[in-house]
Amino acid sequence: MKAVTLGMLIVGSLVSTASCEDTGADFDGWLVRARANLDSALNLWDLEGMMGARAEFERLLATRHETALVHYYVAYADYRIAIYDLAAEDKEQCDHFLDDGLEQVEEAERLRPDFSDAPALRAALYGIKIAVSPVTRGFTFGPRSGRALAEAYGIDDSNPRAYLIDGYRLFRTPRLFGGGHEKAMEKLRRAAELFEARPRDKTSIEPCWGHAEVFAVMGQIQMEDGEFDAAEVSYRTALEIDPDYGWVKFRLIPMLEEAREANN
Amino acid sequence: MREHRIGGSWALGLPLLVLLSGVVVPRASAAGTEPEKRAAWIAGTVAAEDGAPLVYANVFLVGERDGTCSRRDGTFVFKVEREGTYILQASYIGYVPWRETVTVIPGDTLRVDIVLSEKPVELAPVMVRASSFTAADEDGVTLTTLDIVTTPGAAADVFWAMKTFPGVQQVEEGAGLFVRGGDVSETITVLDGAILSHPYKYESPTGGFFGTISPFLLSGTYFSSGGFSAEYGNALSGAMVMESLGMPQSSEMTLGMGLAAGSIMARIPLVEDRLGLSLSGNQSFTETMFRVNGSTERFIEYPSSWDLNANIAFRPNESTTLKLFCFGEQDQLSVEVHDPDYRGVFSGWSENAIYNLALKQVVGKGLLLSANLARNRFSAKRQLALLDLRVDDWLEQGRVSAEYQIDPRAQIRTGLDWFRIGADVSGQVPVETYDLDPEGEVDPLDTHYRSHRPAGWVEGNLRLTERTVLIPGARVSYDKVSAETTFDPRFSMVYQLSPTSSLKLASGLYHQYPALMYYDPLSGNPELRAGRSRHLILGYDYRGETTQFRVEAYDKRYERLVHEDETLNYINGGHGYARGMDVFLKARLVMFEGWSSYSYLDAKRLEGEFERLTSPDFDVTHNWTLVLKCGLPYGLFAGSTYRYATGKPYTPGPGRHNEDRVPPYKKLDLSLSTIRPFFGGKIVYYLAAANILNRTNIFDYRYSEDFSRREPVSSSFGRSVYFGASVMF
Repeated sequence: MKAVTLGMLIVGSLVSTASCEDTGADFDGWLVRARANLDSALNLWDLEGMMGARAEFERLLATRHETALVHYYVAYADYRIAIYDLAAEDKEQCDHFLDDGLEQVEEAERLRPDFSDAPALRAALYGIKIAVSPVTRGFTFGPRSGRALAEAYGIDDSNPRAYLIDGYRLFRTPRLFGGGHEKAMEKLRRAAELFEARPRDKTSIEPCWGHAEVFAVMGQIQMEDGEFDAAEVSYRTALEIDPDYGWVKFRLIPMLEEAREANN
Repeated sequence: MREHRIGGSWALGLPLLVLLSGVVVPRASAAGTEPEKRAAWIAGTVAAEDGAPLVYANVFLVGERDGTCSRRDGTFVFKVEREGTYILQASYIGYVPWRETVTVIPGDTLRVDIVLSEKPVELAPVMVRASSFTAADEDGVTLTTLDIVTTPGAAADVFWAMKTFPGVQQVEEGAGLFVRGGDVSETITVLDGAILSHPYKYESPTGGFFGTISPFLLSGTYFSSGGFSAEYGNALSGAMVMESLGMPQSSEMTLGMGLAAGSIMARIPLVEDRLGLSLSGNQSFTETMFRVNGSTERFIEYPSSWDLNANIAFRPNESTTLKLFCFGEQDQLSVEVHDPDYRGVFSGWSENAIYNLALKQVVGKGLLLSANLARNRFSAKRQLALLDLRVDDWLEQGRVSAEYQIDPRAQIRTGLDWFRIGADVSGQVPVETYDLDPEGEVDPLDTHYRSHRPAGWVEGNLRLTERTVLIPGARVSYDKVSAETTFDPRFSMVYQLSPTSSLKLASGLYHQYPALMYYDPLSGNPELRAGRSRHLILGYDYRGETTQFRVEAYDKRYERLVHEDETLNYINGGHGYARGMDVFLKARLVMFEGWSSYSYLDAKRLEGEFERLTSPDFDVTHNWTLVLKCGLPYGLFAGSTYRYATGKPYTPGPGRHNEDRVPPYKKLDLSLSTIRPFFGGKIVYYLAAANILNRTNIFDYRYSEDFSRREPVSSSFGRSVYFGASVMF
């Protein structure tokens, strides 16, 4: 019986063992591959894949715990998994990953104080903290998110991911409390400009995510404003940038179609 | 961990495995340089302590890419290409990482059943100690700096804000902290490790009207109403511990102007993260405020004060921080006194200077050394009828302490203190204490007091179990004048009921030497010994994400209190008790936030001129404070504070010490503020309305000598307003 179980287990663990075998052992390659695995899992909205990628970052961390980028990518995986858990309404697990993500990103900031992406990601983690319980957490984490973004801009005011996260924050903040769609679009347009000015280098170990996401968020705003044609353009642009972008392909575009039909 | 190997032939397992995992075997064979039979496997389960399988736990060989995540049933298996000895690690969010050295033999399957333990809940210091509150801009604190400056009726003063906590009695309108049936002098005030001998502005027998140190100069404050650390001595009731601002991270300037004060503050990083300077100055001018609001007092000279502060932070390297805090303050006032037997003028002037050089040095990984050299000098003049006094006193201190983390479960702290204290008192005092007749008899005074007080302390912080933390400690102190050595054993213990709730128990012995003038060979008694109190506190604490709740019961026994004696002037014949219960609730919901504090107190003392156990002036039975704040649209912020306190005891006739009580104290304060952009910075406008119900709160009665006539001593203001603005760049 034990042997049967063992055999079945091996079948089940094909994905993770396979990913361990076919990649070079060098650090950069390992990191880039783990990131690609995370991207693939995100596009497929596959928790197991996300956890597998996070596990790879964590394995890297066991050997390179003084490298800010590895802490950053563990935090980034935590951020994405927390969003998954939030969508699955597992708020407790979501909080666990957010807390770990904050711990990791703070370590990244400590190790590399001039790393603008780290405070920007911290702002994004605070944003999800708020989303878990807007009523009770908004007043605590809202200002922290704003401060973290100010830190990110202070380090590098041309970081497109800071503008993307800021845009999303403003999109989700009521106009009464300083947010609003116009302000959000302003930040997102700036993010798009900055992304276009520095094309994505998939071989670089530095963070390069977010370009397609800018247009996905723009599209959501436009959809909420009833600008369906503009939203479609934004979604198409997102897919031009990342043809495998599952969130746009399988979630946002169908939502747009539904909204259009309901409007007609 | 259970670990065993499955035989090299794999018996039934291998054929089945090959059958089921047909994709794996060819891939491994094709890619590897070694034949498949050389590969080994590590398989097993990952579970929590309660046996529940952990899904997606990360199991891997440290330093290698070999590893996998556990499946839905907690099982895992992965292949290892090379034989050898490795560290196998398992980790899971919220659990303590697990590590074990394993040896991998080609062809074998190593079976490992892993049990992960949940990470213990981190216990912040404030969670560990009973009766403690904190104020800082960090997670888990009771009050933030913003709380302090936006609490209606707290006058942007740390001491006033702390009075909204349970365990502090509302004895008078002022900053004085009367803690759990203790006099204001029984609470010690510490700044950056150095003791402040005069922490109040406009000093009075009940403390003073404001705290000396503005909350804007502080990065954090810790307040304990009992059961506090062995680090702090010479205090029978409470400890207020403040930390000044650290290294400025960016240049900031704040200018403030209100109805009664103007202020300026600048924070300048001179060398990034290495050298920084914080400067501040405040000038108060209360005449306009009193004229606008009217007052029950008639001032000859309106209260005014100024203070200057320079705070230099220097970090020569990552392990060393030096901080020099220099502070100077002066205040004065002159006011008419309406006594049934006398109408005259009281004039007061005081000057306070504080210098504190503090060092923090990290040595290695677990040792933190701290040291202080500090001097606090205070001068004051008081004049009222026959009373004409000048007091010059000083406190010089050197303190060193060490904190060592022995392992994650044990920490030890120890320190040595040395205090040199002195006071010169000159002038004259009436022979009869309450004689205000300008023609009465006086005693001239020209006395000089000096003493040295070395002390040592040690304290452990031991995590006995995952749920239990014990803090044992002891303090030894010596006073040169009385040649007395005191020994204070103390302990505090917390038992974690859940990640958010705990039970706390604290007990200990606390000594406090009488004020130096009681040791005077002529008017006092050089043989006096230190007063003593025993604390016993039991509490429950809940800290949720949006709610804090605490209830504590306490019993405090006083011994050797100073009592008047016809032969020896003073003896240690006094005693007493204070017992009661404190309840604190703080909650936040959307844009609303607030806290409520309730204290019940029963206190009696045989002390001073009392002839039997008597309620002291600060025996205020019921204290209730409700603070509500609300964020409004368009950046407006509103708040209200309501206070209720049983009337304090007063003496209605000869020999009837504190037999009656004044009417209850009731006060409602409101505030409104807003933050707006201002030429690249921001501006805060604020409006505060105090005593909205326009109630005349009486704190005492002044009687004529024969007790036939009396005058109430009441609050200075009826309904009043205060407004101003602060600009920040």
